[in-house]
Amino acid sequence: MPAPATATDLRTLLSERFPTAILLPNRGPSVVSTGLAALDRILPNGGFPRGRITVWQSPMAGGTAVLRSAVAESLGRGERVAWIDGARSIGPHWTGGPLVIRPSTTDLARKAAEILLRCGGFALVVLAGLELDPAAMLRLSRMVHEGGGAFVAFTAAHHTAMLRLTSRLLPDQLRAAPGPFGEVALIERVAVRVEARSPGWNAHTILQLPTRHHDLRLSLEPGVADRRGDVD
Amino acid sequence: MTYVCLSSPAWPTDAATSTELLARALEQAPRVRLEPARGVLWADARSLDGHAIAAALLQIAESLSISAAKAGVATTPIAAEVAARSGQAPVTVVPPNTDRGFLAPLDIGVLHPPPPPSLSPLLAGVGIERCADLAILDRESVEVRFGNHGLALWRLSRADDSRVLFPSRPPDLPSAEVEWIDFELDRQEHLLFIVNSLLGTVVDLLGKERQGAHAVLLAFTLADRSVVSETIGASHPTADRRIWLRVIRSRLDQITFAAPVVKIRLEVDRVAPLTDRQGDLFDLGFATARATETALAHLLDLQPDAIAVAEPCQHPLPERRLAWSPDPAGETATGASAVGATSAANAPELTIQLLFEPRPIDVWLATRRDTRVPHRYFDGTRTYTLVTALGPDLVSGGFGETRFAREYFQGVRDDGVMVLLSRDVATDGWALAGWWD
Repeated sequence: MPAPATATDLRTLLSERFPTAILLPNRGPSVVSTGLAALDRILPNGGFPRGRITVWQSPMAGGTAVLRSAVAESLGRGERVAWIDGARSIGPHWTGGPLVIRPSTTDLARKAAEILLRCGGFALVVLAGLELDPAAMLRLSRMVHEGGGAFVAFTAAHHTAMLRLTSRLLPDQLRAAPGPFGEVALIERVAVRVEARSPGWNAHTILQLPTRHHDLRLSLEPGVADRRGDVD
Repeated sequence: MTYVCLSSPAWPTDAATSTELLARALEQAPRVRLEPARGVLWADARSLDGHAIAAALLQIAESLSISAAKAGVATTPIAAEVAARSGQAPVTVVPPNTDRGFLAPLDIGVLHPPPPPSLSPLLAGVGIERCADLAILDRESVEVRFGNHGLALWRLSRADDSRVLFPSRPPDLPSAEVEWIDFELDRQEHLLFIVNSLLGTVVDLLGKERQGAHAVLLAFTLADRSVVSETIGASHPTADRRIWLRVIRSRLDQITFAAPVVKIRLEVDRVAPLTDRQGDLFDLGFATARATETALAHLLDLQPDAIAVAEPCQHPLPERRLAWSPDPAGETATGASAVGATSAANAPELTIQLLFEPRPIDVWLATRRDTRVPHRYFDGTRTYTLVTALGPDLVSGGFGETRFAREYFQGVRDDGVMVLLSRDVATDGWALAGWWD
């Protein structure tokens, strides 16, 4: 076989010889899928980038639900996932799933993120309930780059990040069950508008998310004192 | 194992003679054991000439005026003791593998401990007089007829003696120390420098034995000769010098010495074998398992209960519905267990997030069908308007100081966020308990 004369010939030859191979210039950064096709479509390369920081800048607006889906997706592939619960706000519907870190202080939460990201053993690390200063974000970006996992931080601040996500609930698209007097009795489904911004990238989608109702009246337990007692 | 037993019916009771006897016996055998109450001295003659040791012990006994002493040598303690007590010659040697035959013709009363008074008539009643008579019986028959005492005697009659006269000695755990007299140290950096050097010695020794230290004892001798000791534990057994230095450094930060340090001793307190976990080729995280374990160990060193697992419970208060317990092994870090999770498990849904400590807020109320419900609230940063508020749910319980009574409202803010507000009935204080996210 004659030797290729130019780089173009070489690429052509390689693509013929190895048809399933992807040339390095054509290969994008590997990502961690969110598990939601609609969301993956609006993210560059189809997921949270590995080795880069992703910030979710809208707390209390459906981000936890989406990220739990991404967590389940990664766990389903046999990868490790860690969730750093900086505010200790994980609710009672949390069942199974990732490694949960409950740091006692803000400083420990930041250190935990650094340690887990740097070790490279986690495909996805989520940091929730903690506002990071620019210096901490810089350190974390180095750790993420070193470890090669995906990192998503909930933060209200505007930090430099490879991918920035914002979300907001759409009140006019709530689906609610009416009560006997016609008022809203139960929120059944919400619409969440998610926007993804990255250098040279701007896309959005609307996700329809069901709501798991939290019924306080379903907590009767033998041995626990009366919980519907003498208020007033 | 070969045992030498020295026995005398007139054993001295004074401490001086016993001390002298032990000291001189130790010149003959590496391990000896004195049982003055029973009038016997044991010597460990493993890999040694038992007869020679027995003869030497007899000479020692004679020189100490221990009268009528005799010695027995056997591979089981019971045979050696019986040989010493019942043998005719000064030294009776029972050849290896003949202990049971040696005991067989002897009266059952020579065994020690002897049969209890209640058992002797039973044995005599069925014609058991010699050890052989008892030894030929099967175990079940002996246990049924003579109980536990009979069973123990049956074992001895078969030269089955499980006594551990010389327990194996655990190997010394690694340690290192350094003492100086020309100067005194009180700066942490200097102390750490020395500790790091001692650690190098200790972890090298641990590594050779494939062991990891679970805890180390660090003893600082001060200039006033007082000693400050600190037992420092790691989250998992390790022989990693960096991990131990990090753990020790964090502990040293909390110690203030009353005087300069003149000596440091580092010794391993507890060890455990280092094991490698079985790998799974289909585990995507297998290649990084070691790095992950090290990272988690680092995390646990910083906060022992940092890794937690949730267990749902039925506590009336919503923020107590999850009981968190430490997960020191970090078992949930292995994602392989979740491989194949169904897509249904991935389906996202808004679930309630509950603040560990409800956040106080100011609330404006509105009247709704004779009920006052929250209409707006201020959380310290801005005011939110509620378009709807469901409730109240009344929750009360507890006793004494833990008594609680709260009203909960589930509200929807004008920006679409669903929140859970609570009102403490006793104080009339409002709080943001959680939100749906």
